[in-house]
Amino acid sequence: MIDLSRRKLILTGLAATAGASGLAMAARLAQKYGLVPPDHGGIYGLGETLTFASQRLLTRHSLAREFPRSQISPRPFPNELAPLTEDFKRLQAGSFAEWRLSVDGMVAQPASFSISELKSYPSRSHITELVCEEGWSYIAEWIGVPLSHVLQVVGVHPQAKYVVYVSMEPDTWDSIDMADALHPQTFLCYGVNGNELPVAHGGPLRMRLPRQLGYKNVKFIARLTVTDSLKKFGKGVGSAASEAGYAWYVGI
Amino acid sequence: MPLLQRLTYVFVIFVLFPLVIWTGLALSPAFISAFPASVTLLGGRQSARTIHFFVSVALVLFLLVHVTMVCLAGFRSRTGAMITGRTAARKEHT
Repeated sequence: MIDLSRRKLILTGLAATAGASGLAMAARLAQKYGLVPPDHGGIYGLGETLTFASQRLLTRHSLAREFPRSQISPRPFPNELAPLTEDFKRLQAGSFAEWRLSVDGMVAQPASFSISELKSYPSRSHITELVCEEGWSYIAEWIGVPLSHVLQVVGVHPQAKYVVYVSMEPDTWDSIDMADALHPQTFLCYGVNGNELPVAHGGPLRMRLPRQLGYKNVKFIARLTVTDSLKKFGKGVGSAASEAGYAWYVGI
Repeated sequence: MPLLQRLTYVFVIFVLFPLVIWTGLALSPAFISAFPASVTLLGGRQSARTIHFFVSVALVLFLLVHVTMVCLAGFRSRTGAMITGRTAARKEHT
């Protein structure tokens, strides 16, 4: 009897130690390979982490579905906008000629670009679906410069892990990891369906990443900050949306 | 267990649950970027969404009927049997 319980005790102890160190090891590896989202705390944190980690492993290089031109939606739905600020209206009155996109943080040469400078870079387009968390979706042709190109121009440090993007809209900002920032379909988007990007859709400049839900595609982008940690930004959970309780990663 | 009941359980486990998981994954833009057939086979995102909602309503209806039947058959003994694997009152079986 005593023998048996001692053996049991030792085995249970070993199993518990192995389990705990296995978990600790998994957490360290996940941290190292960028599989832990900034909103990993709280009740939903574990779920967010498992979703983000598994989708990163599964879809790091996969391309969003592209559609034939015939499937472009006749009426792309512009979601409700917050009232535009005075600053924005002033830029709009000048046809956005004064609009600047500034890029700073962990880059070799911080810079700022006008819309026409961005348009002078190689222009790319894809016909993809914009998918809202509310359920609606539409297909459009999105035209812009790949974010990776702009990051290459300013020279991103190899230690960089995230790109934070800030809107002209008050309290609107978000961030993506480098896997998404360097993804070929991630655009700084300035055109849709052959036209200038209308203000209702985020013109003159919108983030467009077709592998995540609509609210990650922030409108009116005015600033990019390249960083290795999101702790210093807002409450440190990666975006204004996650501060409001939405998920940071929404490949869903 | 009557045949109708068995068929219902087979349908729920092997049709409704796999379908709700499949249509759910088909709503993920990241998942379908790796496995595009998962949504094209369903006829696109909005059809996947419609099927997803109908199946979830069917699952909720099943849950209501299921729990009602458990209550009618004796909630305590049925729940006990579910956890321990032992049936207290064999008479309830037919």
